[in-house]
Amino acid sequence: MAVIAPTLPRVRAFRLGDHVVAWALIAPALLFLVVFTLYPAAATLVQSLYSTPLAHRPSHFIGLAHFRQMIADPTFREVLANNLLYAAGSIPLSVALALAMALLVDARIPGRGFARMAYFTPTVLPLIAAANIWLFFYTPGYGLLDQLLNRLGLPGVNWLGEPATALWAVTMVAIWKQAGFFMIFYLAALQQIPPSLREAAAVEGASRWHSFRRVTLPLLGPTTLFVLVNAVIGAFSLVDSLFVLTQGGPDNASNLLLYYIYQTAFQYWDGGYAAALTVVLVAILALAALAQFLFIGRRTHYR
Amino acid sequence: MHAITLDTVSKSYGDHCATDAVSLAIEPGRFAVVLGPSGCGKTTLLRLVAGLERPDAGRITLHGRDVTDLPPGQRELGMVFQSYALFPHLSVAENLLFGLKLRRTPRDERTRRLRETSELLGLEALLQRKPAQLSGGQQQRVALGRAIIGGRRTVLMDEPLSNLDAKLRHEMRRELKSLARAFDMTVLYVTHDQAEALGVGDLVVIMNHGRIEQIASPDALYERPESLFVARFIGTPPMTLLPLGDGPDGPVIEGTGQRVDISGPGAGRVLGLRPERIEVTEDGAGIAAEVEAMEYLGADAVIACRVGPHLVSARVPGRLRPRLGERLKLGWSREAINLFDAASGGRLPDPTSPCPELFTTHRRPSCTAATS
Repeated sequence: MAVIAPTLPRVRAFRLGDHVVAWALIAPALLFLVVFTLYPAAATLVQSLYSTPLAHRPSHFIGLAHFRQMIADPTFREVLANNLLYAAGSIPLSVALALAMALLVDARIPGRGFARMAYFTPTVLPLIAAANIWLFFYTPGYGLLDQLLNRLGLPGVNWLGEPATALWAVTMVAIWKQAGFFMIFYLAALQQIPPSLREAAAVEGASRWHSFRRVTLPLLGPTTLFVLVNAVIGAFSLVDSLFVLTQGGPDNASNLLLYYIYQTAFQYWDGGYAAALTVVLVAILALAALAQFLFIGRRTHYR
Repeated sequence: MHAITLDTVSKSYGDHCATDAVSLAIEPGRFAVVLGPSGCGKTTLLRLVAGLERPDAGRITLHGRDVTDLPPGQRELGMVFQSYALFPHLSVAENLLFGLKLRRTPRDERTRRLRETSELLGLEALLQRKPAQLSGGQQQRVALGRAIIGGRRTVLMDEPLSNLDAKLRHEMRRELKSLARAFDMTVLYVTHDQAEALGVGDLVVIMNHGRIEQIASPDALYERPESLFVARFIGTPPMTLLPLGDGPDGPVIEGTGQRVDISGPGAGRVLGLRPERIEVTEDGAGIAAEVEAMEYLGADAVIACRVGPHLVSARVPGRLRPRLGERLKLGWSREAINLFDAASGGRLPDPTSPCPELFTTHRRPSCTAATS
């Protein structure tokens, strides 16, 4: 005891100082995290349980009333269904297209640099500009698609104006925009795979398809997981092209969750209901990411 | 019928000619090593045989079958890559069975071969591991196992030992050789390490600038190099090469008046001598030289002696320990002489008449008496 006692205060002082330094070091990052992420998240959660303040009636606690309202809300159901359709269409197609483009521009083809640039261009273009280009493609009567249809003697289609086609027209733009971005990740991953692996597979008698299926694709696993998580987040947070292309119309045919949240919050000024919608959106994203890590992550080979 | 035949095979990348009309025939069961400096085309040669590169011209035949236009998988070859090229996401067992599964080998045969190969290479305890969990030597064994598990008669190896440490490399050399003999495999093995080539091969192919300089057994290669390039390339230290000139009484070492007794003219010829064939003479006969550098190696010592403008390497018994600056006389027997054409670099016929002055009959083991 006599031996230990004199050293005790020094140890305690050191630990205290240690903590102070540690907190001081993470303080700037923590401040930003709290102000811009944690507080808004908590505030949204709280807001979703309160009614939207009105001029004559201040906000008050209403429990899960917003969520009950949501279940009964036909627009919410339509928007959610749209979003699931949009995700089911855009995610597999953009990821598959990205992989195909990456494989193509990874191979020794003439004009490889140009092809890489061309594939990546949609990603670099500001979305508003890109959406405007597509707006021209889709314009009824003299748009690119209608001109092509007219040449073939077919009647024009109001791609963005018809409820049947509006969502798919929006999906096309998103695939076109995303695929180049995802391609970059696949291309980087492909270049990490030593060519000798493909050669070893070839010497063992593997066809190109088999070599891709058994060697390349498994080694791209971590990239696929990363890209998929990004694609899912992207699918549920698309909002900017809707502003330019359809504003969610016609009659919500192309409306998606985040755009509906925007409308609820800033067009109908129903902040409480928008907060509840946001909570649901975040929950969907969290569940999707969790599922991906559990099901794909477990079978993924990390180098 | 030869196991591997190349008939005037050429391959160039841009304007760089990697292999230039190479012809080569290797009998079944041979352990053939392709040796050459980096960039000489040896790896290209191997890749051409594997089918990983297509030749611009020429034909490649394996066991009598023209495979020039066949993809690698149909050539029935095993291959060990320098980087091992193990599939990182597959276990050792899956790596080994990769080719057998592709060829739809029946399950019980696959199991049997896997057991035999893993026993042979000492991999039984590692079958469920991933390549990243193995040491370099173990990875090397898996790569080797993958090449031989299918019972391929011809196996290609691209510097398979270059990533191992010196001790392991030595062991693996011996093991590779006995393995090749046990399975009666034909091996085509590429290396830039001449000690490895001479140690492991029973046929050595020396390449330089995309051409084959010489194909010979290791001892023939060492004793009778067919060109100046081979003479310089093989041996540590390499063969001493002395350009000859014409003196008043016959051939002399160029730049000196020192006569060498070789019939015929001197100019235009190069005299080649292996260091261990040069001896320090005691009777005053021979070429006068001055010790300029010495490397003591224990059993022997390599001395570099100045002879006029040239340096002559001689391997002398270690106990002689000549001192730097010491003057001594060097002699050699007639059989030690290699003659080359200076212009073409090719080997010339062996000299017919012995030189009585240089053919020293009386030698004493000590060199102190020769000190002037």
